Amino acid sequence: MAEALDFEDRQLSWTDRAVDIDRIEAELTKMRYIAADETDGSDGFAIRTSLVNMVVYAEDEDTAAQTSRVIEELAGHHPSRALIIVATPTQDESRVDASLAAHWHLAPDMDQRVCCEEVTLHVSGRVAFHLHSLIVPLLIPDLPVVVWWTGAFPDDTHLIQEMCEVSDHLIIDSARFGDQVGDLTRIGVLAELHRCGVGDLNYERMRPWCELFEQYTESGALAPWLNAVTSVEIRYADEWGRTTSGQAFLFLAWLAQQCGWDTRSVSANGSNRLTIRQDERNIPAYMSAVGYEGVERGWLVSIKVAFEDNHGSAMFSMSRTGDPLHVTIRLELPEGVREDHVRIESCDSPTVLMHQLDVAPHSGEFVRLLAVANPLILATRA
Amino acid sequence: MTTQAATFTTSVPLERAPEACCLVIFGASGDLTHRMLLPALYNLALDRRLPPRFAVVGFARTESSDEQFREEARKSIEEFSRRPLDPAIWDSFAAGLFYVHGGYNDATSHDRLTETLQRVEQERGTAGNHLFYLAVPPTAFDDIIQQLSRGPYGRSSEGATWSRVIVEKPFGTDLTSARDLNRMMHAVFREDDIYRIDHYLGKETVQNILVFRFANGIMEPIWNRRYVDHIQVTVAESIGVGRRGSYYDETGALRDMVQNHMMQLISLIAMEPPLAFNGRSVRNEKVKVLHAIRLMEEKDVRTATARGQYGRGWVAGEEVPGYREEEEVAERSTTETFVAMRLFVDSWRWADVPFYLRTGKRLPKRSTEIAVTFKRAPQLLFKEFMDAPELDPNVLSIRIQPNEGISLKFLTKVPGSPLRLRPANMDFMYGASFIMQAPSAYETLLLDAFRGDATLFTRSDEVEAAWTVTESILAGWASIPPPKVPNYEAGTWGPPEADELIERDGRQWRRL
Repeated sequence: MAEALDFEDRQLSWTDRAVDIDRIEAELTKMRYIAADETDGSDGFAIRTSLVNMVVYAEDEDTAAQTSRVIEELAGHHPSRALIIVATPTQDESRVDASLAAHWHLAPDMDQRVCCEEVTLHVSGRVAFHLHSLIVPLLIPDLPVVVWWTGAFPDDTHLIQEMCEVSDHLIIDSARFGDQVGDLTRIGVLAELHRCGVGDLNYERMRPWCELFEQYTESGALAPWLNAVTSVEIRYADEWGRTTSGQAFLFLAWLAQQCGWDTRSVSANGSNRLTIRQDERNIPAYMSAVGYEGVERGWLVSIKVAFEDNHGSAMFSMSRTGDPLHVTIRLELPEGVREDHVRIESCDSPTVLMHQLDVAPHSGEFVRLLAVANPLILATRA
Repeated sequence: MTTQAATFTTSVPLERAPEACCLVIFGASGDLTHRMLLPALYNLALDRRLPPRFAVVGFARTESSDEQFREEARKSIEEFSRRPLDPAIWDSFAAGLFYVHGGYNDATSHDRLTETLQRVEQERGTAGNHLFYLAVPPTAFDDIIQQLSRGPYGRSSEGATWSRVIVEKPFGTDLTSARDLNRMMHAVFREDDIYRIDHYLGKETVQNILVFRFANGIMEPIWNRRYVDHIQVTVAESIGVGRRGSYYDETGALRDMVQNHMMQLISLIAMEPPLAFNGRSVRNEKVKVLHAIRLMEEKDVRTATARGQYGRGWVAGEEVPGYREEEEVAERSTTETFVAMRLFVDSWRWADVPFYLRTGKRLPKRSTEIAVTFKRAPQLLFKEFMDAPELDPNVLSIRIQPNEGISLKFLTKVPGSPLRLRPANMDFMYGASFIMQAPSAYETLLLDAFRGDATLFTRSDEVEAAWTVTESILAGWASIPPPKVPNYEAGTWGPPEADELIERDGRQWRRL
């Protein structure tokens, strides 16, 4: 049964085992009514108008708890009804355990407490292969559905397909994929199959690098050189010679998009060396791992782009300094050398997720990027 | 204090108490009586809204006694009432329950019923007024009406006492049978005394459609073809046919849902303002809408309707059988459990505005709503800030069940910079705004029938007009090959043809 509102714990909660969806819906409704009943009081408590349905797939309890905290942090900007699913299809008993919570916060500079609903479902047994049948009845009608897949890309794609079936926008973190690069192609296939938008937290973490490059190319000193790229060198944090980096491939694909390269004309020499054929020119792109402390494996450490045309040559580089959040930008042009130092944004989960949610549902931006990245990835796998 | 009391009595109209009467329920041992009627009557008793002198006489083929009927009624109320049983109220309510067993076409049984009614009238002071409730399959209507015609009921209501009859759907299985049924009823009862019950009309939110439309000045100016792009009516059920297999297999979704509930919803949403809020005026306007619905020809039926039948699947975390595996359903049945269609109401107000209807069983969730989608704002102003090719339209959705309420979707700016637009819902929840349980549809409708208010009941001409529309679709279906069924998996939103139907017009079904 739903408990009485407890302002000490800052949440109203209900938990039960082996429940059906009707019961969960009834308890959700009851929770809303209890909240509404309190609205007239001096405490000014109200359930927020949700702007999005956020469905989260968590592999285990710890991940569920972490995502719950992230969603709570986002509630101020992106109020949602959150459904957190912890699925263990391998268990024998087919069962759904549920817990509901209405978390509330005192909005900054406001007297009113605001609150968002969270439903956590622990789904075990066969029913875990039919998650959409549990999720759909609990969605708020006519609001976008964002699915956040927090885990690795699974070998058995059934669960992620189930989630995609209800999704307008799928958020992944390719940094958590077993094969950061290869699994991106599988995500592209899924997105096309289910006609949903895709966002990647790993790409969001890398976005500041793209934005910095844009600042210099869109209207800055590098603008005239964009069609004269002669080579690209990307370094990422990892032990030398190990794996490939999703961020490195995504940056290269993004750069190809900016420069208008046709990535279908590509050849590879190993998993990290590519040559893109563009306008009768060969543009070599090298990606390599370097030892770097302070960032996670696969994150970008430096980027160097060389240019050459009839007027001479130029070079643009960005590299992390000793402080991982600081980047040195060096621009070498025929007329001289310039160096800038900038601080890049924090890459914590709430921040990058917030950026993803700011993107309109069904946004095709990342799917278009995947289409450009795909030939590059496939060339290295051939 | 005196002033306050005077203000109170003059500003709040007193509710008209119903006249003394005896309710006779044919089919008193059935599901409807025990799940709906007796709990509804008990809740009216709790609210002291039953007639002051009142009795219920149950009539059914099952052998039973007054005492047994009372005991069964108590159990039903304990199980199905929205409020718990109060012993004091129960005792007084139970004292007015009586039972007669017998065949519906058996004159002797009906004579015993007449004797019982006379005795009850003496004991309970029910003043010779009778409300007959036909909670029986339509096959029994004829027998019961014939037998009632022998008694002192029916048209005798033109005198000091009255006799009314409540009939449960289906009101016929086609236009001809509906007309026959009307003729049969009119031979015994006046049209004003026939209450064709469609429990949808008793729901608070359905009644609120009229209040919302006609008590709010901002709605009427935009409630027309100039501002409305299209209207969607959805009646989605997550359940299957349950124990109604044999009835449903003969009926199908079109007859079971569209002909009655959905036509009623359309008529309320599309009607012109009535002259007054009474049975005659409201029903006059409703029937005009039904007459204005464009009848379908075969080519329209091909392109503007889709039908389907569910196969096995998963609904709400449960594995469920396909329709053909349900009890009392034919193994090779082609009966439709899903219908989607596009209708046009050829009136000045609604010309060229499509009304999209969909209803089905074993859909992903239970949801009944009417959604009015308004025309989009020109996009020019915000084009550069949009990722989508068009602005989201405003949508006004009226949720009939569950979570009864009204939402208005509009675009808003996401706080901060740069400029981003995001849809948000302004949401009114009935239950959260009025912290009280609404009466059940049957409570509302029974009380109206006791009072003689037929506003929320269906008139014979409405029934026939709705059948005329339905028959045009049935005729089209009869002339084209049926789809291969099952053609949708339980737990999905119907067959692909339903999506194609609306997508051909550049629109989409709402996600519920």
